[in-house]
Amino acid sequence: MRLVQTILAAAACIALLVPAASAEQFLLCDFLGYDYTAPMPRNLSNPNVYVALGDVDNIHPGAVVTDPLNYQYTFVLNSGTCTAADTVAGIYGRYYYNAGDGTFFIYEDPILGGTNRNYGTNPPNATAPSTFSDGTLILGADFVNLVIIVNLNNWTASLNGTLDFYCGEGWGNLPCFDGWTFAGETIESGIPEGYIWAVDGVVYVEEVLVETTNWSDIKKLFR
Amino acid sequence: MKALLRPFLLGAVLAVFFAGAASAEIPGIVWDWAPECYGWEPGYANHMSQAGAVLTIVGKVDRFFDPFLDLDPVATEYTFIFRDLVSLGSINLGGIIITNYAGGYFEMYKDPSNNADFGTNPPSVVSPATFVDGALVLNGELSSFFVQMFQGPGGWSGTYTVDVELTGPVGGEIYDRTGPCSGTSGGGWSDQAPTIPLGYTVKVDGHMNIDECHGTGTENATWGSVKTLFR
Repeated sequence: MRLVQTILAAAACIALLVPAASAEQFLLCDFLGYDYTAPMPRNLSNPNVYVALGDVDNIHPGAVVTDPLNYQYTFVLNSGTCTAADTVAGIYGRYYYNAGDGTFFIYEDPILGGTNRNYGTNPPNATAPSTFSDGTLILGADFVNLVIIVNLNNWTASLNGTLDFYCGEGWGNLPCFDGWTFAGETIESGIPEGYIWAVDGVVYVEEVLVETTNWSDIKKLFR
Repeated sequence: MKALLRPFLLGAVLAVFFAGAASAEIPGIVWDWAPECYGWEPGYANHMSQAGAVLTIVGKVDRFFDPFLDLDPVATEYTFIFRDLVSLGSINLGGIIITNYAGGYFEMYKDPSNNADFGTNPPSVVSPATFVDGALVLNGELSSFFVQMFQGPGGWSGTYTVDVELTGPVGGEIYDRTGPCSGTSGGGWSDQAPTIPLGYTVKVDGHMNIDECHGTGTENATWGSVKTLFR
């Protein structure tokens, strides 16, 4: 009897904590800014790191209730170490950042009394990334994997990575900590000097669906 | 005296009507969209576009930047459409898929009814219809629409970029402030984004960047207001 009770208790835990049917994803945020590499400019290979920074909006209210009238929301994406690179069809450079030391952080900074974000030129500089990473860290993630491809003909680039959220004031509100991001990187006229691309992307987070049940339903599973 | 002034006033009127009133210095990113922009094209499958297929993208601006900070995209929706983009067919380059599209037009509408609705399986009763109602505030011609996409760690995604020539309409709320300008639009592109409505083939997370303006916007004026300028 005790064995049965143990099994039932375990089953109840499973039923309550594990996704019942499937997992959906929702848009966590949108980001738009500019990017660079350091210490060498315009070089994605090791030992350089790729950094993107800019504005964040459309943060999902279930994670963080934002106040854009009074606060500035910024992000800093750091690729971490480039672990491999190759070329595809002689047209694309492909760069892998799989060391697990890349990060994606979102900050909230008061407009009144805070520091207005400033790209400046030739980053890193006195204002970038520092004016993008001040304020309160509201969501932070490690990159599990990140890949950037660069079209060597027209210099259009794309990034795609998986994220593991682990910190920030809004972290506890996330239904799940696994996410992914993609962004387009384009050459445009308004890019500040020393930056490479305009980067425009989104972050999705997996929403784990759970099913509320009771002891009777659980018992039925074993009959 | 009046005879002497007449040519001068006529010149002034022409200047107001044709040379414009507002500044045309509008470099950089002017508006952005993310949560609500999707496209469709017939025959799209396995990340590949079929030659001859026509791509349509509809969406809603969610943020304006300088010098359009006075426009409120929440109170009044600004919807847009990229239409008549003819696919030249996708090419798979060892797992990176590229597609070029020929032609195309861009239009933006201001609609106080806030009725934009993607629905499903476009074209439908609501899409693109609810994205092209209201007042036409800007239009232009597209060229060199290019998409690259690859399978990254999170799924298939990539980038699009397109050149835009803003051409009208005179009297349109935004065109009257930009005049004829060259620009680019670009951003993220994914056919595996989780929120793509049924029947659409791609999510587009983009923005508009104005590169260079060739003239100035125009401003409608009356004889009375023109005369006032010289009093």
